[in-house]
Amino acid sequence: MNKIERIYRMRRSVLICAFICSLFLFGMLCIPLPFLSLLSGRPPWNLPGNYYMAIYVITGVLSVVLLLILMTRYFLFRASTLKDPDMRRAVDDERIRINWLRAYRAAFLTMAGIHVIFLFFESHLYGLGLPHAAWFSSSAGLWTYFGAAIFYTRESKNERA
Amino acid sequence: MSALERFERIGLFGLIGIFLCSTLLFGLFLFRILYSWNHVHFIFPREKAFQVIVVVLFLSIVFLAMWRHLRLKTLTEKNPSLRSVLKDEHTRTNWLKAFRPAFFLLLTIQLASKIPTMIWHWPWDVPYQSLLSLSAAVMTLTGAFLFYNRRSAHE
Repeated sequence: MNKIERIYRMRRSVLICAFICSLFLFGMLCIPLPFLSLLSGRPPWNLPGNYYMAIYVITGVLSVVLLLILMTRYFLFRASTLKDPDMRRAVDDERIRINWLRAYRAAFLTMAGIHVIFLFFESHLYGLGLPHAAWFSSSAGLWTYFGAAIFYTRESKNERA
Repeated sequence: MSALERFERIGLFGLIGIFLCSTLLFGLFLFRILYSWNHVHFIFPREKAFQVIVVVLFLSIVFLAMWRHLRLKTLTEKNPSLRSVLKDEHTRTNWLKAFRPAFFLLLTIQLASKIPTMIWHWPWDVPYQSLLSLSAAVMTLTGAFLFYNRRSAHE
């Protein structure tokens, strides 16, 4: 495996890790809603917050630590490899940059869509009282961002092959 | 002025209008958070300002999108070679670049609304918070696109 392939592989592992962590955080916000609703006898859109804050914070801290380890490893290797200008040109090509930008677009549209849904609930119903709505939309945005980045990177990798 | 120039100019004015509307909306929100409504009563009665600007913003976005779609269809039916001129790679990249700051802004607003509450138990009770985030997002998206478009035109 040459150095460029190793960089791609390390970046992909960082992205996959970030994707799984953000998906887990997002899933934790979505999955317990019916159970909490059954337990408290209140509808899913009107639940009190602070139910699983401790688990959420622990998962968040673990995800951040894991990501930091992977990212430090990746950036150290990348910095040592990209001292060579030819190598730098080979890694930072236009298509990869466009793929990152497409991932930003997907994440933005997801977050905007979630806010439109929230807005509808705020104006037409009593308000979507999701526990930690801000975390909900943030983790959904990050999850989409990493997912889209993995998807588009895979697509361009297939094209390269 | 050719039909192509007119098309691009009207699109640009539409985007500037959307940018100004969303900036006004966002500014009113900030004004409300910082000083409360009592100071803006001389502009509009309570809640009326939001309703008027939201409707104007929504209608202008829908109108611009529809107008652009129909006009593009008419122009390219007459002259198919215009499609490549109008849908060029630079404009597409500028739009893609504009999504990046808009996404970061949305994320920052979400975190900014949550972290002070978690750390200092500072109550963040802003009515229509989704509208605040959306107006900031539209403002940044259009503003960033106009900025990148202007810069690439200069280049």
